[in-house]
Amino acid sequence: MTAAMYQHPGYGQPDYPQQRYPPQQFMPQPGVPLYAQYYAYDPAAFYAFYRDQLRQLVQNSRPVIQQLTQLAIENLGLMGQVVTDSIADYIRNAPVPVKLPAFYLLDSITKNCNPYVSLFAPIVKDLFLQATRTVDPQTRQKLCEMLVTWRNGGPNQTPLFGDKVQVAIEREIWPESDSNRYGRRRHGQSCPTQSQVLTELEVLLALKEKAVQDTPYDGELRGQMDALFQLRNMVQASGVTPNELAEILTSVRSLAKSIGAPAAPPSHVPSAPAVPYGAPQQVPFFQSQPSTTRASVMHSDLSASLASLAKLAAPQPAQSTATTAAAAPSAIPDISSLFKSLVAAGIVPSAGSGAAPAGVTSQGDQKSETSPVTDSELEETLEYERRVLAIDIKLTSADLMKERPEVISLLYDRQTTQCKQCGLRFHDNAKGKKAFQDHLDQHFRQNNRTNQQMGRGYSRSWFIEADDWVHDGLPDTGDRLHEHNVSRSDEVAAKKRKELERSFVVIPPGEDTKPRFCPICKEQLKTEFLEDEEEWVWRNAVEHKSTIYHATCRADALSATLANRLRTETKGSSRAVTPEGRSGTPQLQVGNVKSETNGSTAAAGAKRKAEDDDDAVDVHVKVEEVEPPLKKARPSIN
Amino acid sequence: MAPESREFALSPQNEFRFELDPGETLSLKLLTGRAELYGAELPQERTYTFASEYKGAVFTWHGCTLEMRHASTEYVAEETPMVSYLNCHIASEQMRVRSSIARRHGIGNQTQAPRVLMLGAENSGKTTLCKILLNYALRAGQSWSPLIINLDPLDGAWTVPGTLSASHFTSPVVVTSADNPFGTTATSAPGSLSFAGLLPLVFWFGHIDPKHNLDYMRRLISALGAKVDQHYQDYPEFSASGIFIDTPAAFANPNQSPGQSIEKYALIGACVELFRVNTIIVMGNEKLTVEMQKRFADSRHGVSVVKVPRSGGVVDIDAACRRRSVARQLRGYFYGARHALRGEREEDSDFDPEATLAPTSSVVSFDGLHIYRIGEESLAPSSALPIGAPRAISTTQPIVVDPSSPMHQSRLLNGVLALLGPSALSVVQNDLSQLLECSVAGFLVITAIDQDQRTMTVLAPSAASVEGRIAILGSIEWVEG
Repeated sequence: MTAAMYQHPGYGQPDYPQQRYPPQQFMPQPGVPLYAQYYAYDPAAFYAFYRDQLRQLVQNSRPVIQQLTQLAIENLGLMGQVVTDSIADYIRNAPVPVKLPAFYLLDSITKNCNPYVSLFAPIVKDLFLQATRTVDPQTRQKLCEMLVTWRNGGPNQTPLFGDKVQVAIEREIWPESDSNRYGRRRHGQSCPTQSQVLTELEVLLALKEKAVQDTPYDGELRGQMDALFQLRNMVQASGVTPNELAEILTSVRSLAKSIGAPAAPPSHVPSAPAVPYGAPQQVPFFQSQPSTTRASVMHSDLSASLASLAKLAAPQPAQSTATTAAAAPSAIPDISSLFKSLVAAGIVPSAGSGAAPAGVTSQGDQKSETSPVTDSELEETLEYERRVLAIDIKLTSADLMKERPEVISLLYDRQTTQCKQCGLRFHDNAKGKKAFQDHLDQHFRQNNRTNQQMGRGYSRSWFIEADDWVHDGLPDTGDRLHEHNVSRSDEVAAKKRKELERSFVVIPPGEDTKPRFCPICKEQLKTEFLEDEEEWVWRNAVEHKSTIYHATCRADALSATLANRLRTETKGSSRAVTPEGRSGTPQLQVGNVKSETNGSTAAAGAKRKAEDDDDAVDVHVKVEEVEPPLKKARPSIN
Repeated sequence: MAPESREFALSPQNEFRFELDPGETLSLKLLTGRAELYGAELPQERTYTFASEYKGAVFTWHGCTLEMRHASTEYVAEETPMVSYLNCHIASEQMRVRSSIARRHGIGNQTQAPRVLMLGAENSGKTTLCKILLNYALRAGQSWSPLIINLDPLDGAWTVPGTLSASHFTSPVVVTSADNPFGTTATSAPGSLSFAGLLPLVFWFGHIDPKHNLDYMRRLISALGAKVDQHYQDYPEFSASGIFIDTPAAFANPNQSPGQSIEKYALIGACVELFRVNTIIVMGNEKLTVEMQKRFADSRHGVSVVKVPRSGGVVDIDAACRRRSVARQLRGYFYGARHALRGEREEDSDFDPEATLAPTSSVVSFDGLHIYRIGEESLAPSSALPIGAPRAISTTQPIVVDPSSPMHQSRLLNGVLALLGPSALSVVQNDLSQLLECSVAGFLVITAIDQDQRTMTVLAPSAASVEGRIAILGSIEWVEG
């Protein structure tokens, strides 16, 4: 092995010091994933590989973070330090919006795999402080919320990176509350800041929300959450005295501990790297924040959801007070009574009872929707993408001459089920089995037809028109002409329709006062203000060649052309010119045409000809003149 | 009964090559190991029968044994460029994966997907490399659906010669005849395997040699480019799969024909721009590689130009063989051609639905079909014109062909016509020059002309009235035989 083999200029890391990782002996091991065979023994290569993997992490994506975490854990033994360096470099150099997900990754790795804690502990403070200085206030808030979870993120509710690190970071972040130590009783003179209290409240709320998801019918939990929302509202209103702030903070912290204890069993984290770290020992923070967009929604809708929560809080106190009375000696504080006392003090106006907390439940529902069961397929794809991207290749004539046996394995060994008739391979998972079944059906139909329908006159189909081809989203011809899976396509259609209804076109400046009409259905386009985009938009709209259509109308018109085409093709006839459709064409003459067909097709041909005239297929030429189809235009072909 | 069979044992990375002469057939069966035919993996214990002057190569990465019947010219090659081709695949696969990840995270950027232009001399293996890269991509199990664009009018790809066309693929292509290397277009027979039922977008050039009319060629490339662009705007989810563009040798070897205004490599430049090409693969031509790097590897185009070795197995096809291939492609268009995935039991009989298509012959009056051709048939060189005199007819102007004129009749008889889609009618009424950019619905051949009755007999692929439609005549002829 020469030193040159450790250089991977393709990954664009010119400033990375090569000598940091001296070459090690390559020792292939059975049972190790293939990428590992090639990268797990070469630190420089692994650095480049992991760095390349990190580039997927451009937003807060749970699968990506999980995948990267898994990769880090798998390679702890030899590459722990490399992973740490790689992540640290990534955080340092990442653009501002990427810093937060990068920290979530760090959070996930350290909470899931304790040995990484000691690797990150020396650098986490600098990383964190440098990041908080550069990011925008909202991201900073998110980072601080994560910091709060580190407080008891370690084994037995200890700080994740140890006392010293935690204190050092917090001192920088909240300098005013210097004396205010995590997990200890506060001293009388301490004055926590508003932002700190808010941050901790957010964290607690997130934890509670999770708990509510686990036990959706726990009335007490609901009550606590409502009270917390109220508290947050109060603190935000900034009419709270420092003393009250301190009191709230204490309550919040002890409440947080009471939740933390059952949620995370006191699992002793083994320090020997040989132990597999499959099961998560702590809930990584990013899981409570599935996406940054959701978080921002939470903020913008805050006032509205709080209003409804305030209403709900009222019927709860009786139950909560009972709990308090029983648990008085314990650390669990009586939030509701605190709240009540605050109400009594006139800080918060009390509200009437009524509406359900729509905000919370809908958020909960959304969350459960976002974690579909197709994880294994996704994993498969991610695994494949990882392996493909791990291959170091450049498009130069010299580099193309190198042998890369791992690529051959990608083609041959990854998919284990092989079709005996044509050699195509399929995955051994649910999706692959389904695809294989469909594939075999196709063979069966083909063979069956060959055996039974010999002598039937088939003919070459006409090519589809350019505009149809452009809008033809389904290149798989065999299945489409058959439509044997109607139910599935209905589902897809419904989903697609929802997507269409969500689509919008931003109204160009100056256009906002004029009413616009969809050229297909002649109805006015609805305008709407999008909070996220901060723009006025047309809803359910799509722009094509500078004309605005209803997205659904246009899709219907397009699929109507497709349907027509399919109908004509399946009948075995052509997209013939129809006299009705061409009434404006003066050249059209009915000449002395007689049709003589070759061999057996004569009868069929004549019959088809009669049907041709029904198919006016010219819809796409002038979409404006098309009547919207009444029902979903999907060809029903038997 | 079975003819004598021979077994070949191939070591890893060897290639079994064979060349068939007209009328010869060859049967191959994979006994053990793994092997692939132009990138598509072959199943074991399945017999493939090759015919119609097929020049083929079965390659193995792992080693295999093949059983062969009906000997022809065959040999085992130990040196192949397959490592380079495989690396080309993984490079484009990385682009696909990156593009797909970017799309998933909503930071989609179409230019990341592989858009590969193949360049090289005649018989340098451009089409073969396209096919290998296509088949490898389709074997990934990632639901890729790459677009193949054929710009070589000599090579009919999935339809007849004289065309420029584009088609999506969803499953690996295995064909056993030399005529349509990518399979064939759809027929009315239901449930075809996808490469026997392609739905391409087809434009008609009408000539075998691109140099016949480079301006026309350019118009067609931009028309095709515009449609592909629209297509990917409407269906961005397919764009990650990428595009492979097969080109005629004339692109790489731009000897100007007289009287044509197009500069050197202009068509390559047009392709790079219109299809947003980001990779150019040159088949073993050092000079062309350097010239392409000079032109397109700058920051403005940002194209990676790479040279790959030419395979030693490429067979030089002579003109007579090309002619036979053109005739077989046209015959296959109307009457069908058998393809590979037939069970062994049907081998000797002839009831493959795709191989027994029934075209329709009908009689049309002279006025019933509007026939045009593009540009003057034989242009005098500009230098032969009086100084300063402009041409009376441009190279891309549609000119009416009158079937009643005896001079035109001789061109029409046995001539292959491209029948345009119905939308061409409105084009003729508005702006005749747009006729060039209309896509083709199918092909017709005029098999007889009756001067007295003022009628022509027209062979069409399937029953439909061509009355009142528009067709364009080229220079390709076909006599059924």
